[in-house]
Amino acid sequence: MGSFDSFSDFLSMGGYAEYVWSAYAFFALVLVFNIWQPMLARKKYFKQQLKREQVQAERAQAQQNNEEYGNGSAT
Amino acid sequence: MWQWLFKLGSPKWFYTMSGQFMPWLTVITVILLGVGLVWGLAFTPPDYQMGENYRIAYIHVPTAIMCYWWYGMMACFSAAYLIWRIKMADMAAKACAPIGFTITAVALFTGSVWGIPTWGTWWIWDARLTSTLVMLFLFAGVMVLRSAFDSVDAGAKAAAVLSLVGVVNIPIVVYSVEWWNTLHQGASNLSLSNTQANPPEVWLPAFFTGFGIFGFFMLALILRTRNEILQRERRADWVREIFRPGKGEF
Repeated sequence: MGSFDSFSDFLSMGGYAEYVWSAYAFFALVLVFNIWQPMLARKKYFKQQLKREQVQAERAQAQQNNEEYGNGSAT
Repeated sequence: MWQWLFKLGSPKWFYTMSGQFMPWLTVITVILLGVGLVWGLAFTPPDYQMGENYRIAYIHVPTAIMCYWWYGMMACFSAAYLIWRIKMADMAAKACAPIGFTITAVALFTGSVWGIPTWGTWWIWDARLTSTLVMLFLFAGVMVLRSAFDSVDAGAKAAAVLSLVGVVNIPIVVYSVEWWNTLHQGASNLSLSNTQANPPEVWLPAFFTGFGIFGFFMLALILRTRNEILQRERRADWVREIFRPGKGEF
C-alpha cells in the first residue's frame, strides 16, 4: 500500500500512530460538525416554519367556515 | 462587475445561485480531499527526520494558512456591512465566525499533536502559537459579542467593529516566525519557494488537501449563510413560498 508494506504497517504509522491518527480524527470531527450542524439547524427550521404556515392556513380556513356558517344562520 | 456585486448583495439571488452551485462544489471538494488525503497519508514516502509524523502537515499547514485568510474574509464582510450596510455581508460575516473558530482549532490541535514527538512539548508561548491562539479567541469573541445584544443590528455592528480591530493580529500571525526567533519554524517543508528541497510527491498532496479543505469550508459557509437568509428574510414572499404547506422540500 503505497509507501507502507501492509495495512497494519499503515495503521501503526511508524510508531507515530497516536499522533497522526488523533490529528486526523480531530480534523474529521471538525469536518463532520461543520456540515452536520447547519444541516440539522436547517431541518429544524424547516419543520418549525412548515408547522407555522400550516397552523396559519388552518386558522384562515376555520375563520372562513365560521363566517359562512354565521351568514347561513342569519337568513 | 458592479452589477454582479450588486446581485451578490441580494439574499434571494444568493440563495438561488448557491443552491445550484453547491452540488458542483461538493463533487470538486470530495475529489480534492480524497486524492490529497490518500496520497499524503499512504503514498508519499516518510520524512527522513520526522518519519511518518510529518503527515500531520497535510492538514496542519493548510488549516494554519487558512485561519488568517478566513479571518481576513470575515473582516472584509464586516467592513462591507459597516460601510455600505449590505445585509448579505453581515449574514456572511456571522456565518464565518464559527467556521473560522473550528479551522483555527484544527491548526492548533494538529500542531500540538505534531509537536509532542517533534519538539518534546505540546505547547509553548512561542510567538506564532500565541498569536494563533489569540485568533481563536477573536473568532470566539466575535460570536459571543454578537449574541450578547438583543437587537440584531446592534449585535451585528459590535461584531463587525471587533472583527476589524482584530485584523491587527493577522500580520502578527504571518510574520511572527520572522520577527521573533522562537520555536516555530518558518515555512519550509511544503512552501512553494522551496520546491527544490522537496520532491513534488511531498508537496503536491498538500495542494490537494489545501484546496479541498478550502472548498469544504466554503461549503460550510454557504450552508450557514443560507440558513441565516431563511431566518432573516422569513417575511419575504419568496421565502414564505418555500414554506408553503404541501410544497415543503429541503
